[in-house]
Amino acid sequence: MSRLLLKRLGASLVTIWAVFTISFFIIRAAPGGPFDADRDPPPDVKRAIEERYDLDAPLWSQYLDQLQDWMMLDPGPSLRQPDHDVASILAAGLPISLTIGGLALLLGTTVGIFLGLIAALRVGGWLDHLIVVIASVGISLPLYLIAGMLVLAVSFGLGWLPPAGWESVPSLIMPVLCLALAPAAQAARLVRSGLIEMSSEEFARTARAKGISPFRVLFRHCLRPALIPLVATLGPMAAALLTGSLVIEQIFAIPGVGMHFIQGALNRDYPLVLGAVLLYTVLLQLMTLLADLMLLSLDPRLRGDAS
Amino acid sequence: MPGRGHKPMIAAESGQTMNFRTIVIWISFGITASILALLWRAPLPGRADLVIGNGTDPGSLHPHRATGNPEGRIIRAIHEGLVLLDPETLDPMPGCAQSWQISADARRYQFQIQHGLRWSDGTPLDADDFVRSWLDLIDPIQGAPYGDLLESVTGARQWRNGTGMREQVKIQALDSTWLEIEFDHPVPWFLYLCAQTPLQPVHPDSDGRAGPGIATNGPWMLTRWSLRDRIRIETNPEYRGPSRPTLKSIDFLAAESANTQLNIFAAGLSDWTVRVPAAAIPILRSDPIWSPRWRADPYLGISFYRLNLERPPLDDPAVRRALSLSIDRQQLCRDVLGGDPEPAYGFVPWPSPAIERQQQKLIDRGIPSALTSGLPGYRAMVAIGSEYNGLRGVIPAHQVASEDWPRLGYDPRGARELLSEAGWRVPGSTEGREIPTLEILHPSGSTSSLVAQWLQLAWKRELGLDSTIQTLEWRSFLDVQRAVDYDISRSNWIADYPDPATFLTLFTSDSPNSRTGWSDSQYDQSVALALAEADPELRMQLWQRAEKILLERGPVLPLWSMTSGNLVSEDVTGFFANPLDQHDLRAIGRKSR
Amino acid sequence: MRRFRTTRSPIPTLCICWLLLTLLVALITPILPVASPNTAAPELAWSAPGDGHLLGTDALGRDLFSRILWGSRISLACAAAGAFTALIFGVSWGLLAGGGTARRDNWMMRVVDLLDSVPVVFLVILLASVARGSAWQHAGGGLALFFVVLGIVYWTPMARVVRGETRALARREWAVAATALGTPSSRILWRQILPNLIPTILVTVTLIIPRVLLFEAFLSFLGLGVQAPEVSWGTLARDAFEVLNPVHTAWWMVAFPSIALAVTLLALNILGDALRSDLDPKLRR
Repeated sequence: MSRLLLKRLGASLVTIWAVFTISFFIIRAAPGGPFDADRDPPPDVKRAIEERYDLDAPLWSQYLDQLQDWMMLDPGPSLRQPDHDVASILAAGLPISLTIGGLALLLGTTVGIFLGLIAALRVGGWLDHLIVVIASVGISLPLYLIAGMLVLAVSFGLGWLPPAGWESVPSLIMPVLCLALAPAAQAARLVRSGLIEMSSEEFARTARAKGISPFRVLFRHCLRPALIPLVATLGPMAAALLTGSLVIEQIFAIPGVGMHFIQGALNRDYPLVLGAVLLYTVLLQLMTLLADLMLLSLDPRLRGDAS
Repeated sequence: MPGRGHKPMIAAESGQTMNFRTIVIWISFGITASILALLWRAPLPGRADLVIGNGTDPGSLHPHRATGNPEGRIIRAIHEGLVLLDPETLDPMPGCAQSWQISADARRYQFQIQHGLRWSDGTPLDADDFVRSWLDLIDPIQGAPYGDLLESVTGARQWRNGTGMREQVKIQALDSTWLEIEFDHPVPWFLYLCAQTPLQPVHPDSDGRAGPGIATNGPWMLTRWSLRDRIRIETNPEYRGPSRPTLKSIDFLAAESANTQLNIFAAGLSDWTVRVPAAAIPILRSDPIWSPRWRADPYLGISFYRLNLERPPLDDPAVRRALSLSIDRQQLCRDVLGGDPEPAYGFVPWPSPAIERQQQKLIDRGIPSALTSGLPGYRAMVAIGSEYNGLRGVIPAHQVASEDWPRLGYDPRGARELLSEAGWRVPGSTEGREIPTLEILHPSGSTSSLVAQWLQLAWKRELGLDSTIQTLEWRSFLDVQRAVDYDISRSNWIADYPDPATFLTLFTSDSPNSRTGWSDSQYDQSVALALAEADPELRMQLWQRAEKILLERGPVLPLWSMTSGNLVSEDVTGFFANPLDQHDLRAIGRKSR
Repeated sequence: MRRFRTTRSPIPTLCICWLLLTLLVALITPILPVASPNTAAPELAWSAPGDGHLLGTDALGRDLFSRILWGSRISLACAAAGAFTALIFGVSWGLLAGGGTARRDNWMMRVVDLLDSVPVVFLVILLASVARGSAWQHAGGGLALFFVVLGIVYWTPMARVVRGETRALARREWAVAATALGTPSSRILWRQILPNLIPTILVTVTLIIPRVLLFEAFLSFLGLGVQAPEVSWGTLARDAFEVLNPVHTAWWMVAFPSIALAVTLLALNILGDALRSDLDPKLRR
């Protein structure tokens, strides 16, 4: 187990390094620079600015410098917000993004599993159809439209929740709800099909033949194996959540990491974008690792397979 | 999908069940812990006296590094320059300087700094602080984006291009209270500059950074800075300046999306928002619920298109004039831009009925100021020029808008005639060369895109001209524009100070910002003469000559004079329309509820 | 191959009908008697649905109905681009990874991981500026490169799914037996495993297309998507978001594009599920 972990960790580090390298060069290949504006300073002054941030050095030496800085976890100040260090910007945003993302994942999968269970109990019935449709509606419209309509309805129609901001627990509710839509839909569909598949297996038929109630069979015997595909997609699901959070953070004015990523990209704030990309990669790797660990414990047969 | 195609285990060993549960428990624990940590963070000290929806998250709050309006609003509140501008008339008033003397040719300024001023950390502030701050602003090594505002200080240009030294720049403290600054040419707008962001004094320990720990000298100081969330400023107990602000604390909310800004305002969570979605403007203007709160005022900025003179057919002045004449700017402003902006028939923002109404209001209330006579308009600038020398007088708008002013009004027939005279093919004729397809380059954004599409259709309709639209995100757009690698590109220019110089120096041959490939010795000469001229009236005439050349032969297609748009709650007092869209927070208060 | 079997429920049939209708309308839009999507009449901006404009007009007074029809063309082209790369690259990559040695599998999937982590927004910015001024652009290639980006992003999920299935199938008795008999592994992969994967591939494609369309809308939201004067459902969704505020609710701008987008994506999603349960004998009941 620990050998496996070590191996995975090593592979993750290589992936992170590769992502860093590719991202660095893609970012720097994009046209325009962080200090471009409507008005240009005279060339001498512009050179002085670039010198200050080492942007005039050859690209490969900048790459090595950046790599070293990041290994020390000290990438220096942001280019657009030079009053702040990239590390502290990300450190301030991370807990917020994690809270929203974690809550959404938790809420989404819980509701999804529940819906999937109900749908599987009533396969082919109207409740099943309804759940399938509802589960799909959440992933059939751009998130920003859903969020926009929700704000109009809840904040202005009903006047229940603040439309945006990051002040209190109520301001968490709508962002989490919006973000939870996609995981809920995906979980519901995966669990439903997993349960249907399992319930046609011999063990389930035997159990039902013994007179155990269908719900009990599904819940006690089929649910665990049916969760395997869901757990296997937790990594990509978390990644999709991050993409979703870019939109949600913008609409609800939440100071998470996603906003730094998009705005950093648009402003060519090189160290900030690299930081956000790295953070994202590390999180993705962690989620995949976690999902794999859960898979191992859910499905012992994979153990021999993996090592 | 691992696991599919395998038979599942009916019952797992208890050990594995534990394992699975342990992981789930750990995850839940982690999430709960992070939520608790979040909820336990330092609580907000209640709602501030005023909450401003401040647009995009500010970049640097250091006066030398800041560039935009969201930054400026905060910096001017936490710093105080030598001069403050009257919030209503924009007349210069004493700030850190209690008085000043200006030489007759507007080349030498002397300021007397008030006694007993202090930074927010209690250390004294004197003339040396200003000298040091301004020299740092000019310092080429510092690379301050607005360093060129002081380039006309004697010795500054030499220092910046490496032929001079810091000590030779003519900014000096005569003693601890008197400050002297000398320019190469008359700079009648310098008092206005003193009130602007880059010329605010900077604490010696700031080291290029700003933040809650860095001392400032304004009536407020920065006490909380949550990135992408809010910035709070609170009263500075060490402040000894002339203003007596009523607001104890102010919050600046950051939100990238204009829709979000509007939502926050509409829910009553902010008292003033500086940005609204373009689609909402027609309703904000007309709806009786919203219109009292919607403040759209003339703004010293011009929206225009740059034309690339290095590319045919735009090297032909007839084509450039024809492009301009075939634009119905009235319709553009009314139907596409929501009705607030005024059509521009010059490059220096044009006087408009709205401005004249605004002037009249002030005059009716007996507020005597040269600036009130319509600063946003070109003619008003004539008045400003006069003001510095104790003259008061306005050259009426019609005097300039006479026959000899370049014709820019909507005249499609005239445009077609111009084209066919110059040998181009126009609709309804088969003679002449065909105008090649032109590319309209613009940065992404909904208004910018609507205007480009509208223009494309108008040129097709009036001139039979084919064009393509190229949208690029902002930084790529700037890159292409700077490389002069476009045919027609969208631009804005906003005044740094209220004087035609800020607009008309843009297109001289040596300007780094022309970006059009245009060079005209007659224009350069007019600008140089105007800059050197001390006599205000003559000066303005020279500016007008330069502007005429720019419009007749130059690389610009003026579209509209910009307006500022603020949505301000009705119980906010002291918010006055002014053409710099600078609303001094020192004057703003709340009606008692 | 199993024969396609319609389920008892009429819903999948309805989905197919809607999708076919959309496809048909998108194809014949140029010959339909509708206004051009770019005929502006600024004085008619923001007209509510009614005479002359069935579904109302937008900020420039352009007919929303015709914009939805014309938008469907580019949106479907995006979908096709996504589906195409997923089918070509995704399937072969997944097949080669899943059917190869553990070592090959490992590095090939690492590449997929990598691609999923690289910031796509930059690729979009980069390609948009590369496209400009090059020969691409004059052949309407700005759009073509945009499709390439969508393709690049969306072949990885297909690769993952195919690889997983391939690994499972390669361990089946018949595959093991074929290997033992000396059949070349490439032959086993392409001739024996691939046909068995067709249901999975089909399902995955129907599920990838909605994601491509949503991604296109997301890019439009950031101002990086399909650019005016071209119109797509993504840009219409973006326009809809602009009016989603408490002041200006031009409901038709929100309602109709949303309905078009939602119904189409819903149909695809539901169809994907139905296909899966139909093609997978274990899910039949």
